[in-house]
Amino acid sequence: MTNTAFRRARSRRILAAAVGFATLVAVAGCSAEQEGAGSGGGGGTGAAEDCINAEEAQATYEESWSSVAEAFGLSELTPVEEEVCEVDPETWAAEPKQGDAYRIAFAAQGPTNSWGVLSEEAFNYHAEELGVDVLYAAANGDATQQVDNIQQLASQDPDAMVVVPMGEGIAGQVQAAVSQGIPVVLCSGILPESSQAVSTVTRQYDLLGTAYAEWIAQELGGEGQVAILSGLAGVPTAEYQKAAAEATFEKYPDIEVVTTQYTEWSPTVAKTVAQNLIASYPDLDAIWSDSGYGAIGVVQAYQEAGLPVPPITGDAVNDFLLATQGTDVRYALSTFPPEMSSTCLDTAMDLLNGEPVLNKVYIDSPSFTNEEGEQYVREDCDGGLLVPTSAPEDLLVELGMCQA
Amino acid sequence: MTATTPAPAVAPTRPRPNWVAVAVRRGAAVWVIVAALVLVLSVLRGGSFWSTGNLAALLTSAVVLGLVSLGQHTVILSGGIDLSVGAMVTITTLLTAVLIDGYPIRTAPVLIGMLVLGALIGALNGVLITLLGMPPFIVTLGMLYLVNGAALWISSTPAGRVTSILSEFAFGRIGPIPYTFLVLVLAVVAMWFLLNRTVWGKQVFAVGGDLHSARAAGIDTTRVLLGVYIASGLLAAIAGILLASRSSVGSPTAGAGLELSAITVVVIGGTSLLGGRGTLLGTMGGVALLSLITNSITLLQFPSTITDLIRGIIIIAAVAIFVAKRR
Amino acid sequence: MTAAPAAPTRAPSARLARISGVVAPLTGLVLVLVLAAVTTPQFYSLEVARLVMFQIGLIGIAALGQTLVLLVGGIDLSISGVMALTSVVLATYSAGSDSRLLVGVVLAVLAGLAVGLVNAGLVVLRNVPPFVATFASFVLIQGVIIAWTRGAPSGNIPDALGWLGGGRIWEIPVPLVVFAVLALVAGIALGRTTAGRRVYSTGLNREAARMSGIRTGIVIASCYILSSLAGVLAGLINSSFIGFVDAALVRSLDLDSIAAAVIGGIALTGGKGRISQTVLGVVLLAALLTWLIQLGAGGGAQLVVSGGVILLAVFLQNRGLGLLSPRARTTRATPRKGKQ
Repeated sequence: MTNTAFRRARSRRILAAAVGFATLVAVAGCSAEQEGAGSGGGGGTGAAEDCINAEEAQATYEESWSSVAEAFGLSELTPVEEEVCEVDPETWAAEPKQGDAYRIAFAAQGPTNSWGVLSEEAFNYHAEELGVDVLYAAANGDATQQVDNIQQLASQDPDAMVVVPMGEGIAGQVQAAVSQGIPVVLCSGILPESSQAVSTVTRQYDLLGTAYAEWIAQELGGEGQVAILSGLAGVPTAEYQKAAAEATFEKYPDIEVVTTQYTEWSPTVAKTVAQNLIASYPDLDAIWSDSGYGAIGVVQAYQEAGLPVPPITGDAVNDFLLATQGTDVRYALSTFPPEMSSTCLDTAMDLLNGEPVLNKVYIDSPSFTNEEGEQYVREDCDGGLLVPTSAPEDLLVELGMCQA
Repeated sequence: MTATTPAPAVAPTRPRPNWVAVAVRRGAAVWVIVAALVLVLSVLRGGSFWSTGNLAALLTSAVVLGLVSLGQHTVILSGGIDLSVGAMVTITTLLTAVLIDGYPIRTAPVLIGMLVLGALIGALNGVLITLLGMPPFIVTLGMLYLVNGAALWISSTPAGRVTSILSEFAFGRIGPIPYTFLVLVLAVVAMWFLLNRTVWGKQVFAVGGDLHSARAAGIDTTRVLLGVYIASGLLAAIAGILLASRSSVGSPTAGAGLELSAITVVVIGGTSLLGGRGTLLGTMGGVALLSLITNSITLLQFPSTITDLIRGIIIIAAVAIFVAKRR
Repeated sequence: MTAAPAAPTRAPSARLARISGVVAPLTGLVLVLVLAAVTTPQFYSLEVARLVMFQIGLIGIAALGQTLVLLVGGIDLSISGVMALTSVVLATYSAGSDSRLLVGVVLAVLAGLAVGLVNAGLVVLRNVPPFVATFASFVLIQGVIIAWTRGAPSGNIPDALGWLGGGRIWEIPVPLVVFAVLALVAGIALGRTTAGRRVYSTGLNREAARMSGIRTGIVIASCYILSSLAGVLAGLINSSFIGFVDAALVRSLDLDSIAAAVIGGIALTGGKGRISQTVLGVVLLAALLTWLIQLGAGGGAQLVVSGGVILLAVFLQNRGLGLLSPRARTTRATPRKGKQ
């Protein structure tokens, strides 16, 4: 309040400085073109001419789709476009940098749920079998934390790095690690091409989202009301699958997606959401869910309300199978196996040993419907186990997930 | 607990100065722990810890938390609290990437826009707190919800792309010192100057010490508090820009939880949540401690299942030992 | 939010202010109910009513504990941690067997007590700001759970507990009944007993309370312990609702319980507010959250609306509906005590 004149003069000076600075930077910025346009975004961008063994590699990709189509009894399931190539085996072949054994860095999700636990335990188990050393860092599900983890792991100069991506935010740091000469294998997740990861080993999100949606469309005869129950808002694992499902339902003019809700992959939240669905949409014909945990809550909600459970999808959690055993719930389940981390390790080792490796390794894992559900239940195992599992039995027992 | 006026004549019962209390108040105590941790790491993993790469990783991991804590420090000094810093980081990270989207020509305007946005959200906090007289905790809690919601509205998936000039800056370093760390150093120096060498700084301490006396003494408390919240918003915006540069894409959950870490850091550093007392040295010590804990967990290769336990025990111990005592 | 800070029942203007404090959340509730009637007619079905009642029970029990802590000038960010701990303790110990239910519950209560004691110890003995102390315990609880279960909690909740989360008494969900009883007890205890008066005077001015012979440390500690016990109860309800241990640590209940108390008009500075206000805030919040889900609003919109409602509620309470002069407002608004 005291000397307005002085303050006005000062603010004028600040304004002038800001404008001057802005002009300076704007002039320096120059180009109006988008950087690297055309090379960004999802797959299918590798230059076609240097794609080695393209046909053979492509066949392995399409196989993962046809096996799901067969399991769900779908007549039609067109793979999304994706180009799979072989990585030049010479590029990354190397001797161990320190001592006799290879040191593989593992940027893991962290033991925040049973998926994360089995993912890293299977990795360590396999590393012991192969006699390689593991440098471990956990992100606890947080992409920002994982950026730091990758930088720190890269600074320890490992022979190769396996990353379970927590989000696209880590792409820049992965690229930095690759340009530092460390081959990076992405495991159980995808990143944009710009990350320059050498290979990606995962179960395809598009495949799961599309297959669940196609199964529902088939169950409904292409007509009806569907609710989408996704996992966690903003998390790529959830959003990619949801996007694939939405794209699929769009193809069916008579299928109406009446609502989209998030379950946080928690049966408790899912049950609350499902109770709301029962009240709002009594005529719901099917529920697309991306997780078995979500599906459990839905089944409980309908059963308690004394209503028939609409056809539902999700990943195969033992608890879900136990809960639906002996009921007439119709479901289609697939898997996103945590133990694929051992394949990720194999891929990294193949790179170092100079053996042929695909730039995209799409894991083919079991899918099934309620008709075969019985044979996948594991009464001897914990409810949180993802079934069927190819993790070694002794590991499951040691982790207390199954009884001996 | 209560709002006893921190009158200077309080310590007749304490004949000789308690050096632990003094160290805590000056912000030196937490550095003792940092030094001890560095010593342990040097002995156990000397080679790896002091390697250029690891030092760079350590310093980089301190940048975002450091900038946010700097803003939080200032707000807490003024007797308030800012729960919206994490959300502000989130929205600036997301918008930096979404708006630039790989066009170099947009870089400068977007960066300026983000700083303005941060300052605006901070100003909004400040206006609600000062002019409408609402408690800072509630205002910034509401803002946390609002801004996070807006971010999810803009995009629920990671989106956009920053330009190469930004990512080169984010990954560049001189020896073990990343460029981004220099930004933090600059910000700390600037804030130190503002707090300790300007009239505004003295007013911040005065307002934090006792709002009513400050007002009675003729300080324009509204202006001081507005400045404090704008500073916090600006620093969060800078943190958001750096986070986006490093991630290369924007994520709608980028800054989740940062507000709690930042408050913890400030408190570990010996700043009183009652306001009016605290040192930047201490807050930066808190940032160093938290970054070191994460760094050492990876360096020492602890079993994954006990890392959270270790983190929890260290934080609770630090909080129990180093919190500034009420006087 | 009363004109006379010390004794809410003294002056006639205080009574007016007291009424105005109730008017704002009540108006909000009516607004939500009207909006719901217009946009989602099915909101007025028995099913949805039951959902709202369940939410009121769950959020409400946590909010009661939170209110106690807020009244003594604290805050509890560890309630959802206690809930998760309860579920894990009960599931791991009982492994779904009804015969071990009682011991499992006792163990869960002991675990909750331990957390309450840690919080109380940090706040009372070490003068740690409640905000930081309870957040630190939350981090510690998370660490303990992961270290103990090795990241993958297992086991089921005994069926015998099912009535607590899923049962109904004359169409009214049990959690709501439990909440109603507890709210009544808490309301009487705070409003009519010496213990209640001690809580208020400790929250208003701890030094003065100490001078007048109240053992403020014990008062504050009991509030934290009771808050943790409320967390245990909410945890029991939540886990019996779904029937097995839910690994996803849902943090929302901490914020929901704070929001409910604040919307109702409990002052964060301590010493001001009644249980009836919390109840009102809980009802408003539960109706709002359920309506938003019914609307099919996305995650972003839900956050925006929650934030807006909190800001609006406090804004209206601070205005006191024009009963206070602007001058009085600015001097009374003491940001410096915001939270410690």
